[in-house]
Amino acid sequence: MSQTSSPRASPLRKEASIRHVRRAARTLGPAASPNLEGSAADTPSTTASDRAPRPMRSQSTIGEEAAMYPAGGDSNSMRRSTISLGSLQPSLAGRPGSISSSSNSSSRRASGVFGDDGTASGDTLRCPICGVMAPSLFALNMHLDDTHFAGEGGGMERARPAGGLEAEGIQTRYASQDDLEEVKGAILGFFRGAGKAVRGLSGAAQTMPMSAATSNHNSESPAADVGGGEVWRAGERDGADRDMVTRTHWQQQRAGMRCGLAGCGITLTPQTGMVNCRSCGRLMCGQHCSWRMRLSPTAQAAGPGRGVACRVCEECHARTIGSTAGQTRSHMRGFAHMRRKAVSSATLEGTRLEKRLEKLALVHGTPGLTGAHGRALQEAEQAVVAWEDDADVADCPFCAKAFGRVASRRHHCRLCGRVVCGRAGCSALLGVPLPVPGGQGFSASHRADIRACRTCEGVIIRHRDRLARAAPQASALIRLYTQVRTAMALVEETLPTFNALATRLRNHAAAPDLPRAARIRRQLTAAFNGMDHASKCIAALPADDATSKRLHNAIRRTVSQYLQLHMFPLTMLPKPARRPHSLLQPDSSPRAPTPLRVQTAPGTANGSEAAGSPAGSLPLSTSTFSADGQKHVAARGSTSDNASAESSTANEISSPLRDITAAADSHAEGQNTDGSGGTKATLATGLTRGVSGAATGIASSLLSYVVAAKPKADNDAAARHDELVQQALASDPGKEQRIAAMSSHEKMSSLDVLRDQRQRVLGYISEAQKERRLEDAMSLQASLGDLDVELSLIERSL
Amino acid sequence: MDALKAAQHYINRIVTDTSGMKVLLLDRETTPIISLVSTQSHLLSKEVYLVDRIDNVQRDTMRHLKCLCFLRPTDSSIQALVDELRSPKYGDYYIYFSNILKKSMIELLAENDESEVVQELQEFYADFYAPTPCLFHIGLTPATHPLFAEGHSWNPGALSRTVQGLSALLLSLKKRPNIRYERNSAMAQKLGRELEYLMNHESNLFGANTGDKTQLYILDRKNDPVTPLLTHWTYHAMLHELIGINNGRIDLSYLPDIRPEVKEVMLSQDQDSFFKQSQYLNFGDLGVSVKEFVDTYQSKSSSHHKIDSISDMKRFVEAYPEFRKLSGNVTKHVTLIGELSRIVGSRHLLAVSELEQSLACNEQHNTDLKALRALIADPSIQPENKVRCVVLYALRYERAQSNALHDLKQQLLSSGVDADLVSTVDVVLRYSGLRERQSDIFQNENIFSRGRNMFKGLQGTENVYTQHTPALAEMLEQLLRGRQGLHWQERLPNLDPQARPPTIGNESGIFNQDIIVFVVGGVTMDEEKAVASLNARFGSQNVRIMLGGTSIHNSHTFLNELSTTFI
Repeated sequence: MSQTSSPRASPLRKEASIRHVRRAARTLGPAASPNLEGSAADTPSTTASDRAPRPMRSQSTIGEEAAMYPAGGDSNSMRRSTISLGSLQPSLAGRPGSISSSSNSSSRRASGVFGDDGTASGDTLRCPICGVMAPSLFALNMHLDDTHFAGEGGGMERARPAGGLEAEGIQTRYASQDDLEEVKGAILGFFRGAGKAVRGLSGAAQTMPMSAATSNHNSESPAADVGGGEVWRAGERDGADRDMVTRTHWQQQRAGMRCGLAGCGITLTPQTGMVNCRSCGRLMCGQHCSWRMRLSPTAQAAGPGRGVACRVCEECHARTIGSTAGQTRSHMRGFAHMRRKAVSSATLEGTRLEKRLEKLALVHGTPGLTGAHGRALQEAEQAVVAWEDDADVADCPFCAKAFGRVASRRHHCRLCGRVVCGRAGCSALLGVPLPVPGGQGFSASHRADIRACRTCEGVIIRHRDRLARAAPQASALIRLYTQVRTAMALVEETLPTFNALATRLRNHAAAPDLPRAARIRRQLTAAFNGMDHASKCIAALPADDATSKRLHNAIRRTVSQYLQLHMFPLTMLPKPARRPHSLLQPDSSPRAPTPLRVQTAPGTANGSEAAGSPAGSLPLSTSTFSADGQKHVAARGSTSDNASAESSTANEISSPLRDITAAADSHAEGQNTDGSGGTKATLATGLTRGVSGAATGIASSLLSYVVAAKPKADNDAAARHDELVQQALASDPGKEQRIAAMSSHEKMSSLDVLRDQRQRVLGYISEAQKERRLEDAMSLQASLGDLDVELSLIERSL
Repeated sequence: MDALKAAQHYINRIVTDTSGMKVLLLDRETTPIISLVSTQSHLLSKEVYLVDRIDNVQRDTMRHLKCLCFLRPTDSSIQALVDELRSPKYGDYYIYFSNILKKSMIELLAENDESEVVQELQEFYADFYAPTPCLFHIGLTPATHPLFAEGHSWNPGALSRTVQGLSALLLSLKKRPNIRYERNSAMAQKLGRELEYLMNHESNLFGANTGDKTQLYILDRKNDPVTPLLTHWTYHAMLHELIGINNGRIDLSYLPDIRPEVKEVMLSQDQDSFFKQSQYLNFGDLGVSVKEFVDTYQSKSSSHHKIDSISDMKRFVEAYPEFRKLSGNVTKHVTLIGELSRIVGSRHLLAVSELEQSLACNEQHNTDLKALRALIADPSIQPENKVRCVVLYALRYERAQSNALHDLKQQLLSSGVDADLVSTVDVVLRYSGLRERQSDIFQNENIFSRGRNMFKGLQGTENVYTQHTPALAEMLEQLLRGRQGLHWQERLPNLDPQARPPTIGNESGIFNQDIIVFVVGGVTMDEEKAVASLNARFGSQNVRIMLGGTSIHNSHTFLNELSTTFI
């Protein structure tokens, strides 16, 4: 039974009841509130109305709340009660013990239209005097009037046990069937009227789904259990929202909870307040949940003027406000309408002039007329369009200069017949292709100059432009740019998946996702590489003018920014560390004790380890050396498929990376050129140099486990820029000693290897020069120098 | 309520609604509006590869580009667009106007779009400058839009531009406010009327006048001439006062041996977290803050120097772009703060500021006069600063019996201050003398406020240079706390007499109030700071305040603007 009497229902009675409740509460004091816990726990199935908190609050708030309730909030329950009143009678009549459940079910049946009964009636009401439960304010009022005020009969009943008391109390009131009918009739009459009045308002409540309603109802009890006063005060502030907006998503309250807003995190106590944001459901402290927003019954943000104003947290508020930013207005419709007229008249005019031009071309193409620039041609031209009389026009319509006999001659526009002067701005000669004599179509080589005034020229030009525009055009730029965009779209699509996978892999090392991640990774690197390549081609496209050049450079810059943003994090994932390891290890480890290894990489085991797992924190110099070792392994190995496969991907990565490094270099150079400006300047310069140096170092280190083509060269190229690395390489004190310590046999074999290496590098250089990779060639040269130094060292010691 | 976000929202829509290679065409006024809220790299990332001016006739034809136009609906921009449409240089055109278009303009454009290149024609109301989230201005300068016609009345051009700017802001925030204006200001009332008319006229844009509790207070600078005359000591305000910020840019090229990358620096809250943190710090705290900043940077850079292992490198590569940005940022702020402290030292601003604050806050005529005479006699003080102090003196002691203004002016002249400069004293008095003001900003007009002032003086202040609070901040605080409601109702009446007196706050203790304050005659950065701190304090009660003005003043531009009219 969920009939709720709205404040409107019986103002007089309500006033009276408030008086009673106040008085009663005064007498009972805080003793009323402990009751709530028990009652709230067993209320879910009752026909509870939503006023449960009231007895627990201080007396004065009751009246306020009742007064605060707007009609909209209660309309739902009001309408429902018109129907469920029908079920009132049987339940009143008997079975006091099971009153709540039976009436509930019957009212549900009766109120099938509304689809729920617990929705609006979130809570029960409890009499503050005797603690009896009342299904609604109306019933409570009646109960108060009867039991606690209206005479001796009530006084007796006060002692009755809670279960049946309510029903019996009401039953005593309606002692005779006639009385009952009378009251029922009056109530029904009122509700019919009220129901009509509020029908419009209750639309939102009717649409609430059944499931939400039920669970909503159930979730009430834990919230009530806590008894933190703040919760209810929050509810009280919201007034209407408690009926309308779902609470299924509410976070449950527990002791020691913290405010859900990022950056607040204070432990929630009744003092700080603990409030569920009505929109996102998280628990917040009072301060961070003090915003107001209109919400729909599903707790989504409703538009202005709809939904119920609810208490929401700062984040939800900000999000909604952000999403509805900015008024706009489109004029495209009106514009298109107005344009249609202009376009059709322009098209008409254009076609007409084109026709005339065609006729003129025919005239000029007629053999008899062309030779003699005399009367005949003029007459033929005048047949196309009538000419204006010379005498009528004293000066040019465009430049307003007077015509003279010699200086400023009169001309006729052959397209419209007007008299114009021959200056460049006023008329022009259009080159019109002549018809092929005797054949079809127009020849490309033979043209006639036909004079047209400025207006007609413009019409013709625009007309042709319009026609040309319709034809699609494809250029190299468009093609390349499409490539870039496709690659970007691919990256946007797969990168989140990959990142999620990578995080998972990092946490659980032996995950079955590895092959999948590897595949995605290959796709991504391919996309990055394709993007990089295409943008480089764009930058290298021939530019007709400065703007095109600017455009090409801007595209290239965007792509490198994009790569910086997305590719660096990608290369830094733990994945590549694992993959080379698993792939290379079986290949490289059997070959570990080659003489070369002993010679170039001091710690053999270490070296292969470092190359296999770059995540290891080996000193830089060692890792570069070990890369050499790896290189030989790969070069010597007849089956280096795995390694080269790996290296090709790594190469893909490395090439854009080098560009960025180069950019860093140029940046550093820019810094260096203006070395003035005190200590700050030098600090910054030194730093950038360090930065660029380090960047090249990174390029080299990444390349160092790229095993095939030209890694060593790149190492050294990088080292050339990088003082740190260079020092590590050059002033490695162990080198000479090592050489000295080697036996002559070892020296001989290492000499062989080094010479072999030198040949290779020479080969790479010529290859690089052939492919115009000049910077590569230069860095290879530098590495050649290093090799020579080492060779000469060994030779000398021999 | 975030002016910056509102503008950015529009710009983002412009660049993201269309995909493909794009060129962005702007006009004279939209260029600074966009550059204040967006960056080149952001535009690049949204496929806008070229940015150009629509009135640049030397643009090359590039049919494969789509053209975005963001223009103000001025006659010159419309004409330039018509020329462009008659011989279109790009593929498709997507045209966005920053304000309400006239029907005739649409017709003119439609007649000239014979090639049917226009794909979109919209109004996106980003027609205001938004340097910080709670500040906007219309960008009126004496050169482009002189504010006053004669005396306290609008120059028509400035009025229409201000109405456009303010209405655009309201549209971008989707607000239809209740307008209140300062009773003694004809200009404020006129602006309110025009705005009201526009809102009624374009009611489908502004929405019905229901349920919006936004308040728009239109104030007049003449009621508080003191704030723009003082030396301010917070970072942002100092930069504007001492070096000058022009649309988020600071020009440092006047410095000898300045390094090229800091010749012109950008200040933006979005891009620059250090600036965001420290823009409201006073000069002392700023020193500490920048030192910490440099320390963090140095520790980072030293950790970057030490790159021994591959994992170090990985870390470095990940942080590298970030790090480069940081290094540029450090240089920028160190340069700026270095320059500020040089100026403060060389112009003896601490001494000047002490006297200014005393003149602005405390009623002690004889002491002030003595200090002022000493200041004028000091040859190391800049003439402008001397004049500013004399102006403050003239404003405070205008009715004082022993007013020695005449002597002071003589003394200024004899100490070699330019006569034109000295005449600004009278200019300010004419603009904002006691006769023109309605508020008792010096609290010396009657016995009650004198008493209050005394009491305030007794309390003492911790910082002698920051005693003064802008009148605007005091007004807002009183309004928010619900104090002196009637007094403010009297001084700040509703434009619409039928409107209910606004209630700030409700019975449940949750405020729900958006306040837009617009100052005719320009705002100062100091007031922006006050509003930002009010926002921080009352934000949790759902109070959001936004400050706007016809321009952002420092003392120099303020006196300049007045000198053009009130001479």
